[in-house]
Amino acid sequence: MKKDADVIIVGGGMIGLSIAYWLTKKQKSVLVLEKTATLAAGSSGAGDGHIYHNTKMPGYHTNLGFTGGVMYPEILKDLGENCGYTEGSGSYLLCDNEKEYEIVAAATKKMQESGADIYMLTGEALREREPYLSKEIYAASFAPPGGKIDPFELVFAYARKAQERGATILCNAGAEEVLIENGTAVGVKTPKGAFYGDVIIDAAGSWSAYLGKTAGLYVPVRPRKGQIVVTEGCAPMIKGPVTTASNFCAKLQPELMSLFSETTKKLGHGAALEQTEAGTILIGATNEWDDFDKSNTIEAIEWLIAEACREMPALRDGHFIRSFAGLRPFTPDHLPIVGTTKYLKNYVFATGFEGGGLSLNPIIGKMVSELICGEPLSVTNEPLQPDRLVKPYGKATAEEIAQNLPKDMEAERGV
Amino acid sequence: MKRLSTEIAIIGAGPAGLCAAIEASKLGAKVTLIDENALPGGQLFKQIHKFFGSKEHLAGVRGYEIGTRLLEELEKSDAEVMLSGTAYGLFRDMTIGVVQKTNHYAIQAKKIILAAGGKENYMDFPGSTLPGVMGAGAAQTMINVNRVLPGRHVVMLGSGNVGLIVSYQLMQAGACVEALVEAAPAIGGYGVHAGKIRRAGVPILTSHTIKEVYGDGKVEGVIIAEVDEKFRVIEGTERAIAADTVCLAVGLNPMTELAHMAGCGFTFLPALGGHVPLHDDNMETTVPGIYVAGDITGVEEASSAMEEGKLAGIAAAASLGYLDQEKAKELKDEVQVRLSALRTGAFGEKRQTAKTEQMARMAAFLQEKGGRRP
Repeated sequence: MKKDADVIIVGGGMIGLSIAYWLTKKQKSVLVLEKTATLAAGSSGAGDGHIYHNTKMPGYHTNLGFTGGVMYPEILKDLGENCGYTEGSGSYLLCDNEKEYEIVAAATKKMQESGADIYMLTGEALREREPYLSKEIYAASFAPPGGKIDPFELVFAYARKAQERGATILCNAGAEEVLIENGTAVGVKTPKGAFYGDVIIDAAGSWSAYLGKTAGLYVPVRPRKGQIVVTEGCAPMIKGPVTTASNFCAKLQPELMSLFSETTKKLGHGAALEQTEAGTILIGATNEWDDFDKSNTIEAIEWLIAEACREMPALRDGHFIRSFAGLRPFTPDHLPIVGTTKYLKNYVFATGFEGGGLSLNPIIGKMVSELICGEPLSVTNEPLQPDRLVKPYGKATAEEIAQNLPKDMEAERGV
Repeated sequence: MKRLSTEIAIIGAGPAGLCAAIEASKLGAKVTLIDENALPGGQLFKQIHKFFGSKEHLAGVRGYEIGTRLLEELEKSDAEVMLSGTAYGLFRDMTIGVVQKTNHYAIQAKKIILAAGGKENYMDFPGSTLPGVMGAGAAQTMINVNRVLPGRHVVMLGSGNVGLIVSYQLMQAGACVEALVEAAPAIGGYGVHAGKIRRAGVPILTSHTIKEVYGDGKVEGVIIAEVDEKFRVIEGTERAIAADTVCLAVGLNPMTELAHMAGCGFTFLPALGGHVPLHDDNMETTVPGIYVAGDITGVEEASSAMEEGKLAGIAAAASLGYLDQEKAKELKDEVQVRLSALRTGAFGEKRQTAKTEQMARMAAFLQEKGGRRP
């Protein structure tokens, strides 16, 4: 059988390209297959630029984010590019009231106990750092290592470095099918032909359920829509990425959902704010179930702007010039899916990062490269083991399939 | 947010939008006409010159008089007019997001006609952001609508009809046009307009460009220079002209953002100002129910915008069942005849060729989709 590369990566986003960066560093030959005409066309190109540490699950997940986030200076040095990286602005989680404060403070304490650099700030201490934030904000958790990076620039910088080291990147080459022989993944069929390699990696993000289906696997990754509104370029108003705590609190205490308005329930999140190097402020993102739809809605635009003005009242005098939307790959237990599966040999998952790709991709790229090269893992992937969620497609219930593969494959053919 | 619904929503109350609203409303459709300005009429009210064409095209009538006539017709119609309302987006289910002062509306329509018009091109050179540098159209609005003279000593860049007409009108308003600078070796616009300003003594400097605008916090002068056949500045030919205003008349481009947002198919036709939406002879785009009319379909003149507006208005009303196919065809054919007549002559033919190409590409698109819009 012909062999095109040691490793074939399906998906040209930050996860796929981080893996390509790490594998080529270890002299592996790599082929990246991207469905669309350009890299960073999915979640990577539709998010904000947060290296955000405050809303992952306390313990392993949070620590993984911190580990990934602090890898940037060294990686960017190797890439020879800065990618709009801002170090040390810190990241904030804003509590509107005492109830949210209690939940966030308890979670933050747990994070501290497992070694994370994060602590609580009073409202006054928060506004000393970020004076434009509303006086109504009660308190915040603060993670000093948090920061910002431009996801587009990062993906393309990874790609250039990987190509320099011999990787091939093919766009307009969506994976139509994982090719399997004797229970082993051997290649990927695309409109540009079939490609064969020793290992096939699913870095397809929101489209992983469909890719999995072609490999006979049920992969419970669902697209979760996020809409973002963008302001005109403003003078520096806010240094770190901030998010409101309502969604995080509801994740930890689902009964809190009953206190939310219908709109908030549907749109699912307080607005996060981040100011880019160019001065524009990104406001977002919503958390919605809308299959693979990536359109903006009037409701969400109105709601995001209102939330942003509540958090930062000076924005009332600003102009909101643009909006966009993207899909986050959501998993039922909020943890990514990373590693091998007993159901298919030579098939490796690196998907389901929801909104955490920017803090996680450095360590995930490294982890997956270690896994494939048979090296000891710098960080265990035990809690991320795919088979906690993945199973043979035939074992999935009709209900599960309806939820995770929401519509006919036709529209999403090619991953 | 308030939800409203209508049959035909028209975005832009300039010549195209007004005509679309009047036609569709006359035929019985419920029409909502939205414009971000405080007054309808668009560019018509700053056009104090007489229009060209034939009698049917209202030749010899001044732009603002045409505007007044259209507003009278609009007044008589049942069309609802929403002014100071910015249509900021097109969303799912034919819904338009509109912000009107402090109110926010979601307006759902059965048909949408986009008549957003065009916007002026800008040029970048040292000093191009100094106060006093402006689009020629902006200067025209200042003198003819707001009755404010932007400055006393003007340098105009660009000798197309806009540059020529606005130069003349600035002189009528009391300014001195120090020079009209044109990078091409020949004057771009009609001889009749150029003759008027030459007779008034304004130098028209062809094969020249603006190299730099200087001044302390405002325009104080312009450095112009000769250019070679590749439009490169010839060193040593620079000279300064004292001026307090620089007008840029370097073309327009279609305001297509809403059509993009609606997912309309586009094509690139430089003769029409760049990227323009595909449309058929009903002015309907590749998205079912979304029509375009006027400069958004390709930059032309107000006369053709009005005809396209009528066409879109008739077609949209017909698709809602307000008139039968036969009657609709009859009305549309009348408009088509007038429209073709406007696209003749040295300037018109180029546009006619581009328009024919635009529709051919639309036909090719439909054929590829099996004859139906997706």
